[in-house]
Amino acid sequence: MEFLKDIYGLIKERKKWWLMPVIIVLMLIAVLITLSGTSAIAPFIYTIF
Amino acid sequence: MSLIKNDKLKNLFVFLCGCVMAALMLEVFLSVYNPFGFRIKGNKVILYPYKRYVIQNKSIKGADSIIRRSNNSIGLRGMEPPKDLNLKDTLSIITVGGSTTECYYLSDGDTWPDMVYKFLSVSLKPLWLNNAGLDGQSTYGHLVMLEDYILKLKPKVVIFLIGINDVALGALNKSDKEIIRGNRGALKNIIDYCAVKSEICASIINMALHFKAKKFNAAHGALNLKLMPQRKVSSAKRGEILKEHEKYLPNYGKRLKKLIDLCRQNDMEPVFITQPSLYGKAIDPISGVDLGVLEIKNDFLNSRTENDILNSYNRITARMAEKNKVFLIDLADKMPKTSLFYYDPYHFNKKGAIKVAEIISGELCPFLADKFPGFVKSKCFK
Repeated sequence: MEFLKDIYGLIKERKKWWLMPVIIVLMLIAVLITLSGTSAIAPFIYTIF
Repeated sequence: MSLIKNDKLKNLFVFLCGCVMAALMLEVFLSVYNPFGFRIKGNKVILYPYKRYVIQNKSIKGADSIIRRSNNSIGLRGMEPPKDLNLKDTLSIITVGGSTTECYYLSDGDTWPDMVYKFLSVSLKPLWLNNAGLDGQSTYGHLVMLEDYILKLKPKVVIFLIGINDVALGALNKSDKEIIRGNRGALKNIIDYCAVKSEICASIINMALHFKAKKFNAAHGALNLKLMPQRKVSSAKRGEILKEHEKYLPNYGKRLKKLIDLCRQNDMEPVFITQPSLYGKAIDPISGVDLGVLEIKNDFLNSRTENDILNSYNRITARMAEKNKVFLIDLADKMPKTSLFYYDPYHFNKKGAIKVAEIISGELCPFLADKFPGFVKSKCFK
């Protein structure tokens, strides 16, 4: 959490808001990689087709 | 950049560039490795050859805590196809259906198609059976699956366990237009195109479709009959709901006709199986709960109405089978209504899969023996 706060502080300080979506996507990728090791996202495959 | 004088505009432009960069990163990541493993991309079915799943199951009571399942080299469940792949000298069967055929939460060897193979192979040899069931697939999806994959394999028999996802298809689309490939409307065609071209779009669309299915209670779930609230629906209201849903039935019949024609044109014999449900006018012998008055959180209001809707589809299946001389197994009628066999209203547990396989192979074996006498090795057992 401290790390995320630091990054947010850096973005705010330097006004590099364009980095925000890149960081969000990197975090999303990290979450997906972590979850893919478990079965948590398996049930999402149920789609009416 | 210096062309943009206004600071706010400049910041917005840079932020948008950041968004594009982030989207590209996500697109590349999902193209290389998509952890969701969605099986639908726009208008196409995606199969995953050699994929192995180890599912840690905590939510579905009545299914194993660890489920091990795998796809073969053609992306289906079951044994490898014969080497030459023309399957000419083999009595080849493929089962097609939705989640009740795929049996996602049953390990390899425990699904009803696996059991049907086991029972049939006593009397019929050489036999090859694969399971092409996919969670959520309706007859619309079956047509796509036939065109894209099964026609290339040309099995001798295609078994369809159908109905439940067509109920959801009608209710979710709220359209009485026939839903077939190329007839889904301009907007859906654009969405399909985007999904085929972009992993991000495909993922978002699959997620949306998943939550739609979940809202309709079509996905897998745990069942606790005793804790389910009850809701009585008057016969007048039930009649109204059934009438409202009737408009989707003719198009379901048309899709069935297309399945039959497509199979017959390609020398494949279709077999239809009606979809059973735990719900209906019965008392569950295990819990003592009335299976006809359980509250359902969708347009159908309670379990009896939902079962009546499903039965209206099953009647169309039976009618189309009779009209087109397709062998029909009325599983909906023969499957006992007991929670011993289900982990939710539609999905079979291990015991249920054995029961289903007993019913199916008991009827299918004499039919196959009669139709393909060259493969009979011993008399069919009852």
